[in-house]
Amino acid sequence: MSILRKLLITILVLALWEALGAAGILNPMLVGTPSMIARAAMKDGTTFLIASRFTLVEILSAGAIAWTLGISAGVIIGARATSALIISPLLSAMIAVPLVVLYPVIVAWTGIGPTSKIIYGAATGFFPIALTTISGVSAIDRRFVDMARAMGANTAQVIFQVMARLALPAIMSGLRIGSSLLIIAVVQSEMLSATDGLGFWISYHRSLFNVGQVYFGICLVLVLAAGLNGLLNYCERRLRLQTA
Amino acid sequence: MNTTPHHVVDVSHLSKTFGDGKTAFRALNDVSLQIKQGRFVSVVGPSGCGKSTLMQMISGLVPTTQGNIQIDGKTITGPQPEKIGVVFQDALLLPWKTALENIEFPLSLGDTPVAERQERARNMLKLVGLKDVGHRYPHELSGGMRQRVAIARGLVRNPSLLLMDEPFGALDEQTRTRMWGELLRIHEQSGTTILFITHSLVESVFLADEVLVMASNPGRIIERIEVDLPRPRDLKLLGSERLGNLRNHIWDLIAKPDDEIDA
Repeated sequence: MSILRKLLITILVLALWEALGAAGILNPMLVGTPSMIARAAMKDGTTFLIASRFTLVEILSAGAIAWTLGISAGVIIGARATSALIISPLLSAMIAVPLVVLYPVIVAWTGIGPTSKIIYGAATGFFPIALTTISGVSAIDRRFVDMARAMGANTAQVIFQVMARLALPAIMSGLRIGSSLLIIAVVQSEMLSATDGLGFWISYHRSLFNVGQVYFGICLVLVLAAGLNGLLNYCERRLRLQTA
Repeated sequence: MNTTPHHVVDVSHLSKTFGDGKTAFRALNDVSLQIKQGRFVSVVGPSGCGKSTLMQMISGLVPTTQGNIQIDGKTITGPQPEKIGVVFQDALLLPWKTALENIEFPLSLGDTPVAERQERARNMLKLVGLKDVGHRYPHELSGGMRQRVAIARGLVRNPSLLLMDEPFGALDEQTRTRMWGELLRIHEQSGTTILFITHSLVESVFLADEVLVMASNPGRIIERIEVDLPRPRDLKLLGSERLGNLRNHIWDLIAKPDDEIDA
């Protein structure tokens, strides 16, 4: 019933959009129409699918790097009160630096291929992930550390099996923020200079006034973002079941 | 220093100072104590008398300033999980592990095979009378059950000494009374030597063979009291005159040094 209602609302909105465009109330050159998007999909669908895969690989690679480095750096730094105290402000300051100004430099180093997008995306995702992990780990109940040490845990076991696990809710929220910024960064950098990818094709068709293609590309970016968000939600639900 | 082998715990001339120079604070001064195999010794004293510091040093979590701690004839320099089991004021169970997995935790840190781990954890669960709730998570257990799981976790490596730091302090009175009965039974069945830290006078007398009374500034032992109540102990003893007299005696010792109302 609710799925049916959602479908009905979607169709209604699309019909309204089409009608307003056809009636000239909304300028199709600015906001497109559903039929223009459909025609673009028929014409350039294959190109866009290949581009989606290209972008997805970049996002997943950047994500793997940002998650791994962000979580491990955050956990190790956060485990000791002194290192958390010294390094957190440094990282907070670096978050304020608009990394996009470094993008031309990254392109100069690694070319306009996917590598530069992966580095830029990973760097963008790293800081919020590391920072929230640090604050999460340094905020855990330290009595658990005493308990684990008394039970015979070594430093690595204390940090990874107890502290990181207790900080999981904070780490999850860091992953959520970091991952969405990372997706933005990858698509944005494809728009600046690239050889393929959704950002590249959106930018390309915009310069040719192919409004349908531009909106089709935007839709695909949204699908990617929603898919990755769904994956995170799934992970979070699984973990919450265990931590409740 | 002659350590007779049947002394599980041998603490000699232990002192602890925090900070240095003018701000130095003597938390513990020249504390000595010996505990024989299988004995239940409680330490009681006002807050700030250093009893928790004493327990942290014996568990190896805090270094000593002076003196020596030996468990089974071996000097303590760091945590000794195979010799000492620890139970804290709060159960401190890992929330993502079931009761059984929490009891397994100390074994999982070493290289005990999984099957043996589970077997031993299940036996401990049975010992603390919780064999049917092994699959439950900590938030699904009552406060008393959580503390019993913590006791089982403290005992799972079969330690020479079980160190308990005000383990029932956070429980309500009825649950605490029930836990006293449980602990006496567990002590009897396991035969483990227990060092029990508490601020409850009745608790220190009712459970123990010997009570060490501490005073603060600096933290020190001011009297050792042999508790000659018969074992096994019945909860009815709690209302007895003998227990009441011992309790009053300890109160006189603690209240004497400074008769402040806000104590």
